[in-house]
This record gives sequence, C-alpha cells and structure tokens, in this order.
Amino acid sequence: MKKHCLDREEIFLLTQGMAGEREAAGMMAHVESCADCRKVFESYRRLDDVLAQWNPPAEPSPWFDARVRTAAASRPQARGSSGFLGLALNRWLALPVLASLLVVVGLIALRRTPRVTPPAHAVQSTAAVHVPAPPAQAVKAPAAPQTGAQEVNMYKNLSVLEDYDMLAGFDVISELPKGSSKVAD
Amino acid sequence: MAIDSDLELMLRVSRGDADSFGVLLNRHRGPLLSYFVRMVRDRALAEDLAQEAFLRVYQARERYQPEARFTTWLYRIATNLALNAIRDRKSDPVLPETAMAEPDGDGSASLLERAADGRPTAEEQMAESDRQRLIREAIETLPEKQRAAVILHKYQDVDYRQIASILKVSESAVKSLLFRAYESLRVRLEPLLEGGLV
Repeated sequence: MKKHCLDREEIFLLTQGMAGEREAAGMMAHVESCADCRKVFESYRRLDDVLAQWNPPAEPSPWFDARVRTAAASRPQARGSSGFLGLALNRWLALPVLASLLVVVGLIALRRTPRVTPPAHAVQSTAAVHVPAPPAQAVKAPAAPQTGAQEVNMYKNLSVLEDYDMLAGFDVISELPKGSSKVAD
Repeated sequence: MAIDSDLELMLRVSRGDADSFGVLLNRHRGPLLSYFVRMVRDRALAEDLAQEAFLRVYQARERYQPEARFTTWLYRIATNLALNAIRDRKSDPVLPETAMAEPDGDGSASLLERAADGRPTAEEQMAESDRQRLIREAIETLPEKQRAAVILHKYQDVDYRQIASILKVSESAVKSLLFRAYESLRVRLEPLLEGGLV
C-alpha cells in the first residue's frame, strides 16, 4: 500500500484502468484507506457516470449501405498513399522521381550561375591562354600560339601562375605535374 | 459458425471479396456514425463522413497491411475526417455551429402522448434535454485532440494504446490528454456532479 497520498492524475488513471498493472493494486489499497484520495476517486467515477448519459441518436439511415456501395463502385481505387503534384504516383516511385527532379533543378541552377571573371591583371596576362568557353566580350585575345611549348614559354615566369589552383583548369597548366606551382623551363 | 475477425474480413476485402466488405460495413457503421455524431454534432454531416470513411477503407483495400487492429485504422481515417470537418466548419461563416445542433428528442411522439403513456413527462424530458446539452457543450469546448480522445475512450470503448496510434501521439500523451480533458469537464459539469440536474 502507498503511504503518501496519490496525485489527481494517478487517481484519474486508476479510475480509467490506465494505471500500471504493478502499481494499481497498491494505489487501490491506498484509496480504500485514505478518505481524501477516495473522495477524488469517487468524483471521477461520478463524472464518468454523468458522461455516460450523453447518448445522441445515431441510427444509420436505411440507404447508408447502398450509398457507400454506389460510391465505391463509381470511384476508382486509390493508388499510393497520396498524390504528388496531383499525380497518383506509387509510393515507391515518388522518391526516385523527386530525386531526379532535384538533380534537374540543380543542373539548371548551375547553368544560370554567372561565371567568375578573373581580375583584370590576370585577364591581361592570361589572355592568350585557351580558356574554355569565354564570354564573348570578355577579352580580345591575340592569335593563339601554335604549340604548347610556346605557350609555356610565354607564361612561365608570370606572377599569376603562382596561383596554380586558379589556373588548374586551364588546358596548358593542367598538364603540369600535380603539386608544381612553377612551370619548368 | 465462427465469427470472422475484422482482420480476416479486411484481408478478404483486399483480395476482392465484396461480401466481406458488407460484413465490416454492417458491423462498424453504427459505432462509427455515433463517433461522428459526437464529434461534429450535425447528424447529416456525420452520416456523410461515416460513408466517406468506409469508402476510403474500400479504396485503400489493396494497400491494407494487417499491422494494427482494423478499428485503429478505421478510427484514424474517421478522426482525420472529423477534425477536418470541424476545422472547415469553423472557417465557414455560412454554417455557424449553432445552426447544426442535433435534435434533443426523436420527435416521434408529442410530450402529452408520452406523459399519458407512462413514459417521461414534459418536465423530465426537459431535464434530460438540458443534461444532454450540458454534456455535449462541455465536450465541444475541449480542444480537438482532447475531444477525440475523450470520445474514443469513453464512448467508443477504444483502448488508450489504440488511441495513441489513432492520434499519432505517445501513450503517455494520451493519458495526459485525457486527464486534462476530464479536469476541464469536471469544472464545466459541476452542476450535474453536484446533483443539480442529475
């Protein structure tokens, strides 16, 4: 038996059969021996009795079944738990379709992102380097050198080449061995 | 003849057995309608919602997974429908809640006829009507989830573990919902508890 009085919630749970199985017997023994707790217990029982008196009429109409059957026959069977963008997709298809859509949206966003133009001095210095798809108005480049060796000789000591990472994408520089920031003679 | 369980019947329905759906309909339409009447009060709306709930069960028959009790699934569908209907009604200025009150009696006999027949007198009927109205109004003032929890627990005889699954909350949350609901009801129904109208 519990020595201390129970709180209201414990007593409520006891009246509703929702107290833990192990605790319920001890709690009930306490309620029977404690006038205060018994009073609360009985008030919840009375409330239950009052609530039980609410019985609104709820007889189904005679055409209830017929209406359900007619509606069932006229509506197509639901496919998937819910549609996606109005499409009745199978739940297993929804994820791959969503992933593909995200990839497409990402690619479109990448294509629309403006390219970073190098600083003016770098542009001037590297004007002759072959840059993939430069903006039409970016720099008017002189005629391209005939060979890779000529290109290397042109730029081997320029300070801009210190920034290997920036120029790694350029055709000529990317041919250099990894880790080398200077062009060898 | 053995009575088929809801689960067995629903599995048969999922394999295309329409007769089994009829058995489920017959077995659950009364309790389900009574749930909707208590949730939304309006009798005609309650019947529409009950039909919609059965229809959704039928439409989803091939996706039915016997992981939980059939009634848990049925009442989850029903509760979603009821809560949506309550929200729609709140946002619809054309249909105030007071316009949808259920009739307090069945209207089949006049008050005088009842009195002469040994049935409840007019006074008794009025007291009964007041009692019903007080209880209904007290429950209607509860927040949505408390209202659903009380109705499922008290009137539909649904186990609190099932209620947790229906309302998608934890079991301890259901206990707390019910306790807070009963505390509110205790205050609102004080006149009945004190014996004023009982």
